[in-house]
Parts: sequence; C-alpha cells; structure tokens
Amino acid sequence: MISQDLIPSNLTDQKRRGSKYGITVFRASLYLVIFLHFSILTLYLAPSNPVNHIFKVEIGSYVNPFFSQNWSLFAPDPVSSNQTLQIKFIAFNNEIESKTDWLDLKEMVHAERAKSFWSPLQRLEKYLSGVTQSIVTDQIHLNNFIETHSNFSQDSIRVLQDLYKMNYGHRSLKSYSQIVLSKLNFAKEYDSIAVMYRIVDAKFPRFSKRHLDYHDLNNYEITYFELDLGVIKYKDLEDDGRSSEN
Amino acid sequence: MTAEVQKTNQFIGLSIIRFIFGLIILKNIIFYLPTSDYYFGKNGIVPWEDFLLICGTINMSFMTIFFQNDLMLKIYLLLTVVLAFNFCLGIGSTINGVALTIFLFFLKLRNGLILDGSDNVISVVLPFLIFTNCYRFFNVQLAYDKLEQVLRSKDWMTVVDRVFVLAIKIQVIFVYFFTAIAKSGGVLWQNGTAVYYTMRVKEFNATSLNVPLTQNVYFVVFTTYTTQLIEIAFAFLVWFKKTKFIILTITALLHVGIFIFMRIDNFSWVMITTYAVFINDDEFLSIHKGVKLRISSFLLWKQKILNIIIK
Repeated sequence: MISQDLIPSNLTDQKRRGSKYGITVFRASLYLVIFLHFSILTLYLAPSNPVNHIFKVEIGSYVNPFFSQNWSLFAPDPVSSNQTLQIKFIAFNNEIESKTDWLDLKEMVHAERAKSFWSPLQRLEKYLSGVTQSIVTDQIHLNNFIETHSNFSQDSIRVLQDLYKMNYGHRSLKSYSQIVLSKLNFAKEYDSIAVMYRIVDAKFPRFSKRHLDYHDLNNYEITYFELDLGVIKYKDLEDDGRSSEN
Repeated sequence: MTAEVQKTNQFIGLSIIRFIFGLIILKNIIFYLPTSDYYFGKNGIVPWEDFLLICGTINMSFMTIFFQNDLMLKIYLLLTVVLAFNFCLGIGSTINGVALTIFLFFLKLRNGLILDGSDNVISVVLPFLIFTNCYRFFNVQLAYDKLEQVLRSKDWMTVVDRVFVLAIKIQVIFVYFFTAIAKSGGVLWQNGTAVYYTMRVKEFNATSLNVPLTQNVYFVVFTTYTTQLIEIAFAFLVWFKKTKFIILTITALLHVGIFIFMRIDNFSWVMITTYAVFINDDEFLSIHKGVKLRISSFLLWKQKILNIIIK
C-alpha cells in the first residue's frame, strides 16, 4: 500500500474533492428519486383529479404491483350495516331437487374467532369481508351506471348485469365454495351442483333512532342480494384434488 | 469516511421497528401455516389465473412454482419463517432483509384478500427499512457480519440511510394524510356520525360498551371529528420538536382506543411501532433516563412508605 505521504498533496486533495463531488451527486439523485416516487404516489392516492386522470396508465404501471397501497380506512364512509355472506348448494337427481340450507360463512368464522384473543381465523374473516365489499361495491357502481343510461336495450342490460361474474371477489367466492363443497358429503351423490350465494345487508337502527334496542332484529332493515355462482361439477373437484376424501 | 457525510441519528428507532415488524411477520406466517394451501395454494380461495397473469407481467413466472403444490408451499413459508426470525434478531442484516421483502411480496400477490392494513403498512415501509442501518441495535449478527460492516462503512450507504429514513417518515405520514383526505368526502364523516356506525358494525363491535357509548350524541360527534383532525394534524405536527411528542401520544391513544373498542390489533401496533422513526437516538436515551429516574424515585417512595407502615 502506498503511504499517503508519498502521494503529492494536490492529488489527494483532488481525490477527496472527487469523492465529495460523487457523494453530493449521489445524494441529490437519491433525493430526486424519492421526490419523484412520492409525487407519483400522491397522484395515485389523491381523489380523482384532472392530472391523475391524464397520467392514469403511467401512474398505475409504476405503482402496481410493487408499491400498491390504499389508505381508504373506513373511508369515504364506513360500512354502516352488518353484512353477512351465505351460500347454498342445490342439486338435482331424477328431477328431485336437493338443497342445503343457507350456510352463513361470516357468522361461522366470526363465532370461532370471538373465542380466542389472537386467532388465525382473523385472516378468513378479513377475506370474507373483502369478498363481500368487492361484490357490493362493483354491484353499486354497475346499478348506478345502468340507472343513468336509460337508453340501454334489455339485452345490453342483461349483458351488463352478467359482468359481476368477472368480479375478483365473485370468482374468489367460487373457489371458496368449491372447498366448502368438497368437505360436504352432499356433493358425493351428484355429478354437478349449482351454487347460489346471497349477501344479507342488515341495517341496524340509524343514528337518529340510536335509542332503539340494538339487539332486537325487529329494529333492523334487512335486504337480500342474491346471485348465482354457476354450476360446480363434482368431477372437476376430484381432478383438482379437492374431493371430500381429502 | 469523509466528515461531510452526516450520519442519521435514528438507529434505535429503526432497530425497534425492525424488531417488532419481524415479530409481527413471524406471528403472521406461523398463523398461515396450518391452512396455507387454502390461502395460497393453486386450488386455494383466490383465483389462480390472476396470480399467473401478474407474475408473467413482471417476468417472475418462475416464482409460481412455490405455490403449485403443498410441499413447495410449506417450504416457501418455512423459509419465510426463518427469514422473519433472522430479521427480528438482525441476523444476515441487509441480505436477509431483501430476501424477506421479496418472499412477502409474492405472498401479497398470491392472496391480497386476507391481508389487512398492518400488512399493507409493513409492505410499503419494508423496502426502505431494509436498506437503512436498522440492524445496529437489538441484534445477533452472525451471518454476513463482515460484509455488513464493509457495506455500512461506505459513504453512499450513509446517504441511503438518511434519505430512506426520510422516505419512511413520508410513507407513515401518507397513511394518515390520505385516510383523512378520503374521509373528508364521506357523508357520515361530514355529519359527525361515522363513529356510531364503525363502533356498532358487528365486525368491530368488540365490547359491551360500544352500544351504550354510541348512544351518547356528544361522544359520537366529538370522536368522529377528532379522529379526522388528528389524522390530518399528524402530517404537519410530527415534523416539529415542540409538537412531535404531543401528536405521537394522541395518535397512539387513538390506536389504543381503536384496539380496545374495535379490536383492530395488528394495525394499531404496527402504526404505533412506526412512530419510532420520528424519535432520534438522543431523545430515546433521554426518555430511557427519565423512565429509569422515575422508577427509582417511585421505588424509593415505596420503600419509605413501607418503612413508615412497619414502624
């Protein structure tokens, strides 16, 4: 190694200056990168405005999937009713209909979760809420869209109404119901089974009626939102390795 | 090291975040294990095709192999457990941190529907945190120790430290700021009744006090508006030394309230943990000194009282 004393002082000064310059450039570049990163995130997270509308594609392709985030926590409005998710299996054999009762998916998980302080079922509860929210939100948007376009023909409306089948929550629920079905002995006797689901929206007394008994279901306004998940073939379950023997 | 490169003064805070994040990730992955094939497997509760598509889009299709059968999935999750354990203890430092972030990223891609707000906070803070010197305290550096020392002695790494600490602060502020912005557009947040509904909805109705409390009009309106005020104020007051501790304490109390009455556990603890990035090492040391002093004076008083009682 060459001793620092043997290097002419103007050369070590130059090296030090070069290193200092390099660090300054690096620091400025990194600050710039962070500034750009959070500027793009600001546009992504901000409410719809003309700027994020113009750069919608560019912003989306930068943020997703590496920096995707959503901070609409209880916003713009919190869920203001108890929503449950129920499924029902219907099968036909020689024109005789067999069906299960409505199975309340959320209630089963909620009851189990309430038993322990920290439960792995918290994740499943989050999943079912996410599925419900995804379906309800899309359906509200779709209904609003159809209502504001009165010139649509009945066929067009039917096509639009079928769009719910593309919803991520709806397709996830189909996967979930296949797992539930594979665990029921009911499935074994039939080749194919139709699956229905419904979201039960139970509105507890509104704020103006807050003194009414919260626990009395007579004070609730209950609406049902029913859709079908299509037909699940039992053979498909076996092919996937989901048959009830598992 | 050149004298011009100023070091960050947040090593204790960063190390606390690393340690607690590591514990929470460890807990989450262990909870996933028994039902992992349902959560993340090919025949799981979310469509497989979407995962294939997104992995293909980012040229990472080879990662799907870990999710195609139960054995591979278990191996993947056990590796994540090891990485989270190492991260908690600072073993493997930056290299381990990078690997953990990648492993968690693919779990998020496979099933985002089971994730909650805390997972989202961790996933956006982690990419910055792993490159800072968050491994300095509360650690058992066994692997790559020399490599880490060489890395941390570089001037440019000191710059990364400082800039990424700022990035973490901005990211935490974004959580509150954009939540407040989104709430400002909601009818229930505007008319002051939002807390009535959030506390009564079955999913968050965690105590027998929720219903009687929300019958009180003053409680509902006060907490609804105060929540929004705190969230928006956080973004501004946390930068100034005089107001920093006040807003951090108030926001922490808000999270404790949310935890008690709505049982949103992970999110509350993760958010409170991130506050450590706003407190520098000197402040941590003086807090430690103050707490120690109070405890010893309390013990002294206790002894004096005991002596009086005995006499």
